[in-house]
Amino acid sequence: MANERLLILGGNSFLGLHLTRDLAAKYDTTPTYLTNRPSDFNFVRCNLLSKPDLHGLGQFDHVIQYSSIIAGSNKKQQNLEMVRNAVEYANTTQAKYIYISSSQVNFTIDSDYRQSKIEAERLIQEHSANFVIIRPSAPYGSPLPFSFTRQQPFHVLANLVSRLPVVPVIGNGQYLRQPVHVTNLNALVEKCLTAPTRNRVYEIGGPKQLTFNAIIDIISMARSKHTFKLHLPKFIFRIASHMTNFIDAELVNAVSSDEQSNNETWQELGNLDLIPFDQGVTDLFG
Amino acid sequence: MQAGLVDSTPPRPSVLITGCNGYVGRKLIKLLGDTVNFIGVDCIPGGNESELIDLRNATSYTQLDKYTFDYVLHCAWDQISRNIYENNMQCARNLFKYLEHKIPQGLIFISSSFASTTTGIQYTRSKIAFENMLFESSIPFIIIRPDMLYSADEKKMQEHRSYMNKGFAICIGNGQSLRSPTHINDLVQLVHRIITTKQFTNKVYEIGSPIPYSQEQILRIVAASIGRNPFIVKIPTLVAQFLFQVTKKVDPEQARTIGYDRVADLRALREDFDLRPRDFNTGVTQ
Repeated sequence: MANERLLILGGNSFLGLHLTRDLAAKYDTTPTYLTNRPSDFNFVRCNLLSKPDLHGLGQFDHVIQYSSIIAGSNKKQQNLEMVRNAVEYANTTQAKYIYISSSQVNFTIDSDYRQSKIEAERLIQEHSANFVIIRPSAPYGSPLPFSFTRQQPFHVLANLVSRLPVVPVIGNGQYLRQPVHVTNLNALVEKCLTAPTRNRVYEIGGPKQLTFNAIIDIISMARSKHTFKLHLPKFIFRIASHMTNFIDAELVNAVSSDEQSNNETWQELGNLDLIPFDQGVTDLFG
Repeated sequence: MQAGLVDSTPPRPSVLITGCNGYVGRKLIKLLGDTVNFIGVDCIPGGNESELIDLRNATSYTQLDKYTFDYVLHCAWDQISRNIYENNMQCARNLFKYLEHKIPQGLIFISSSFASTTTGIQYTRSKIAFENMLFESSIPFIIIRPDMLYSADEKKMQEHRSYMNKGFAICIGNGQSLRSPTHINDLVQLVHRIITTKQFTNKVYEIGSPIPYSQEQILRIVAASIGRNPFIVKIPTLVAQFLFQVTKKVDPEQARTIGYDRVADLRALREDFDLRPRDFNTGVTQ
């Protein structure tokens, strides 16, 4: 395995950096960044919109793509262009292409982000010669010693719960989430690297669906405190979205969609001990 | 040459240079004119042109039929109009169409550090689109992405110094974003090395100061180089965008990208060309 070459596109993202750290000892790993370069793991710059940038990286056995634009305008077109370039690159170099999509493709409320993921998946299925699409549900894990360009939602929530007696909640908080620990997600990615299976779509979530309110209660319990939930209408968060890049207006709109992952989809690769959120929650605090 | 003796001097390479009267074009011709035969084209007269050509006009390319050239150096770029993308793409389409018949041995494209760091504006999109067209053209190439080109006689540098002599300096935004200013002589040296070694690697190279500096530090360094200690006026980004719109000196869209760091990654440049650009602190005094 140590000889197999692994390219991690968007290795400086929260999930990408976790994977880089987990696999660096086992594979010949090259993670990429765009604007914010971690000091370790020999990161190389790559703008996925530029074909010469991408093809200049050389030859790899596996290409894993985390890079995605989550907030801001024009994200759909740019996300699709990045995927198109990465698929073309993987095909040319005969690498297996693993695309980290999102459980949001199953949301009932539409958004540009969801559409970009749906269309990206379609593009991959039509054009990639050897692919796996993974749809993680609300991934979380321990904070890393790196300044990410965008804060992780679970870390922001854990921080608020730790510091404040009151936490603002979008709407009634009864919408469901199925948080998956990044350790489980990485284990699935690793299984995809070694398995001969190709052209599959896997969904991965935690072992149990939880309401957003329950998630706050579990985080509060882990801090041995009680947190009061302040339920606010969506429009307030939409206004707030103009002041910070952490909240995206259309994601606020889509937040009340329930999330449900079908963990049966990857059972052909073997078992994974999915970490329950009330166990994994302690990792949110580092 | 004496009869019977063979001239061992290699023939001077012939280079078609677009934008020959712009800042980069002028400097390249001035510093490399003794070793390279330049065929200069520009749409504005400036003394370096062999032909006055508007590259957006496909029929005007026939003016170049009488020349032969080994390489193309593409410096011409619309940076400030309202139609940056369309103007540059029109040039690009015409240029590549014309080069289908001329088939140069290599093309050097002066791209921009914007292509490495910021994606959402016309200027960057046009640079990346050209990079992709070049990649697909099958012409051997080098793409150079300099950040903030400067020299003592560069217009913006002179403008800053004239303000500093009056006791103030102007900074857009909070002045904390990082930049890697590139001394023009380092760019010229790289171009010279590419042409003389004929080393067209089909790769992208970033170039700039090895130590990045914040915009505020850059102003302080420039001020120190002329023995001044000006008051730094920080103009909010929105105000700057409005001023850019009115003065038409700078692309207003670029004001939106002020907050992004632009830090040059010089590893490829060192590995492939053994080139070490000068630090801004040193370059500013040269």
